Amino acid sequence: MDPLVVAVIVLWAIVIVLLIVVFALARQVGILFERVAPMGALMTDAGPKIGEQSPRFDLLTLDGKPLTLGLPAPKSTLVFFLSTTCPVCKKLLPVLKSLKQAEAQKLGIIIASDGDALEHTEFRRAAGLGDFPYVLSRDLGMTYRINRLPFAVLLDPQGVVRGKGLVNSREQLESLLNAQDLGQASIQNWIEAEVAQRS
Amino acid sequence: MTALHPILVVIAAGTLVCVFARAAMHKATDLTMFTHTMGAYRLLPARLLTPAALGLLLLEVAVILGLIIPATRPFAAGVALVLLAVYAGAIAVNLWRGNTHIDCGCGGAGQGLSWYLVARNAVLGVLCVVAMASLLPAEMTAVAWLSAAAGILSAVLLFAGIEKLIDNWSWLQASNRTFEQHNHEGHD
Repeated sequence: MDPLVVAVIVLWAIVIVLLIVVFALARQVGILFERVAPMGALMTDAGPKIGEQSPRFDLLTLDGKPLTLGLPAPKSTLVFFLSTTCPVCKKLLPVLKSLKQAEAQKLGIIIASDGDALEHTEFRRAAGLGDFPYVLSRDLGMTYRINRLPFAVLLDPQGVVRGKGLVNSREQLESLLNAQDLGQASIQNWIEAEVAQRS
Repeated sequence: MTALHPILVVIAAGTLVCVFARAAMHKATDLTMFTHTMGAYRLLPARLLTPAALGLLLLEVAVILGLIIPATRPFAAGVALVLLAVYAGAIAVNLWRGNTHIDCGCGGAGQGLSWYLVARNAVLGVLCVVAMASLLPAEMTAVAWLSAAAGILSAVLLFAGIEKLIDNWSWLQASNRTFEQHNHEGHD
């Protein structure tokens, strides 16, 4: 065999293996970003505080059914704020759907946004969110001071705010629920308490 | 049109086939969501969205088949060039409008718009021009085919790797922003 031919074959093999390595590294860096940054659902200090009773909201869902927030309810409520154009919100929709199934006994999930009802009806249909109560309320977003999306607020069965924050990933959404299980306002608080206890 | 060595033309056409196959697959599996994404670009009236999405999907499938068949390759590469230019134009218009937080609709998990996408389409456009070229009378030996196949695989992997890095970069930017905002609020 011509040595040049052998060289070409060997070099191609090395190039392809190297490119696979580069791709795998890039993927792993991406996974790390999703897992660690920033730790837990990011707390914002404006709006009703953790541990306070949520103000009462009498809302209408897109289907025209009445829905009241902030009153005692049989289970906890997660209010997920989204917009039809935000890419990260779209990424979290499958997580919401699996969460709804897994936690059906303990947790009700409500989708909230504001804007044009027609546009949201179309988005709801396209994204397959027919099972979720979907409310449009400028008032709700203003009261909770939502300025970045996707944002989630967790209310316990008494209508008390148990967690809230910007959620960019599955881990952050779950950390919001874990914070409630741990009896802490946020994962950051829990870590601080743990560190204080140990030192 | 200048003539190029067949290896180069096969690599260019093969890479384009892979890129368009992925795009068409994404559109075919979730056409309703893609239609909605097109709406977010705010370029077409609502009643034209569904036919336009379907038209783009069919056009992409036609480009894939055309690039594979040698006789139609230069023409299909020309159509591919036009498609890429239209996509880049739509993205550029929305970048100028500052409408960057919409989903790009280019497949995979949500990715916002950026100039990187325009640059990527420009690089793919160069591949189209190469795929349009006529062939030099050179024999495609076994080694030549091997080189062509390895070249396609390398190009596709390279694209996937760069895409992943750009994706990471947008994560980095997003976490920088939230971090700054958090610190800022902490000092109020």
